[in-house]
Amino acid sequence: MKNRFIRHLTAIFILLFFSLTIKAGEATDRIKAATDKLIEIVANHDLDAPEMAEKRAKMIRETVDEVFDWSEFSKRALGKNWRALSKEQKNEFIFYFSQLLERTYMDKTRNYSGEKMIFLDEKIDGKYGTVGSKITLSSGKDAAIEYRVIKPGNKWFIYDVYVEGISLVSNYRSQFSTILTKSGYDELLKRLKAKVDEQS
Amino acid sequence: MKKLSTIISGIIMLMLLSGSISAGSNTAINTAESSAADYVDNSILLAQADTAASGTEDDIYLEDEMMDDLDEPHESIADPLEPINRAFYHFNDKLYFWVLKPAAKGYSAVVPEPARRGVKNFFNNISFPVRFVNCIFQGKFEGAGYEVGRFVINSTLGIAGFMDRATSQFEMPEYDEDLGQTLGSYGIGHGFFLNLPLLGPSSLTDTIGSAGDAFLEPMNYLDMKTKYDLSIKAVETVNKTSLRIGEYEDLKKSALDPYVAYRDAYYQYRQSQIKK
Repeated sequence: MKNRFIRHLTAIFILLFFSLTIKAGEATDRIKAATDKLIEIVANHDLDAPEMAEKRAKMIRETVDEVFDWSEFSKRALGKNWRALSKEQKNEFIFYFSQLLERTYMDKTRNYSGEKMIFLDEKIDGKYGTVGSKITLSSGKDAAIEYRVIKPGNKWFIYDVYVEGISLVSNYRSQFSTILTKSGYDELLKRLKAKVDEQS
Repeated sequence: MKKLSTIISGIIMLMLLSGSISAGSNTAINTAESSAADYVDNSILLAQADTAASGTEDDIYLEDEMMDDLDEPHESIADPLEPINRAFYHFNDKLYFWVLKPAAKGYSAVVPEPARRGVKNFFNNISFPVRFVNCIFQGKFEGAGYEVGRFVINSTLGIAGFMDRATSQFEMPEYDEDLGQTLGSYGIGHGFFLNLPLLGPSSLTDTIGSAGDAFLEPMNYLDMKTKYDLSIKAVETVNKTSLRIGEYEDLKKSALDPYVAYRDAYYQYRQSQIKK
């Protein structure tokens, strides 16, 4: 009788453990791993020295590239205009746009002062999903950050980030479509390149 | 005794199972994925940011046809007054960098951050009637109740509103509702984008909304001469800015067309607030 009770108990613990591991979610795990790595890099004061700046930037870039799907970002930011581009143009666009976004990300890490990121929930629908999180800013306010993820193969990648309900991709899409309507693709690429140069 | 332990463990198991089923349904949907096979290697190649081997490269953009999102019209706000709005954008931009930011920086050099947060909380607490009434207008009675609770807690335990005890200790976050959102929730669109001098981005509906909200703002009923009134507004603005230095700069720095980025950010933010 006692034996039976223990068996039940073990079963419960196994189930409990199992359900917990599922709950965290693959996508959340990937983003969390990358975030932890980023925080480690940013908090490492050995990398603050000017001569280490390049190494630091490279480490951040590699970490970010691991989880962000830049081709998805580019596609969605250009909308239907994406189809009109040749293969070379697409690759060129992805190259510059990813640099701009990486720089933006890097600038954000410069202001980092120990804010904690909490992952809230993960919703999956087919190969798409959302990962909800929040970060407490130095002003004491919580900012909601939602990642949109896609699983093209066996790994999840981020293809959009919503900060307080504002989609990064949509924001760029508005800008790109304004420039495309007014001045065309060549002008857009020119301005994109100029922006990347200006930041480096 | 035996029965009891079986029943209890049975119940617990059921609870756990239902928990893991709801969590596991994520993965279940995963496997029921449709035919995206050729898409698979492509994005990985691109995600590695490598120019892939020429054999597979031809297939890289095949999945374009499958992306319905590409053809979805992009939601944005009408902007018939763009030239004027842009002019005011440049005006406000200069105002920020030449006046507001230096003032906010000087102010934060003197007033430490906790105190500045306190001032922000104070002004926020006083605006309680705006949020309360708009919660009611939108039928969010629970929110209205929360707002009353927040006002009582913060005005007393929070020492006249300087501390947001309701959020930090009672887990009662603010219900940030205003008349613009109320009108939005009634199905009234934004009308069009308006960038106002000094006040910044707005829309036709939101401008009407904030004019209406002004009647609910206790600060506006203070019996004071205009100049005092103005300086209260100035303190509030400078204080708020001091806590947000860098946000506008970031937006501007990462944008190809800062005005459009600004307009879109406003639109998206308001849309998400209305949906809440």
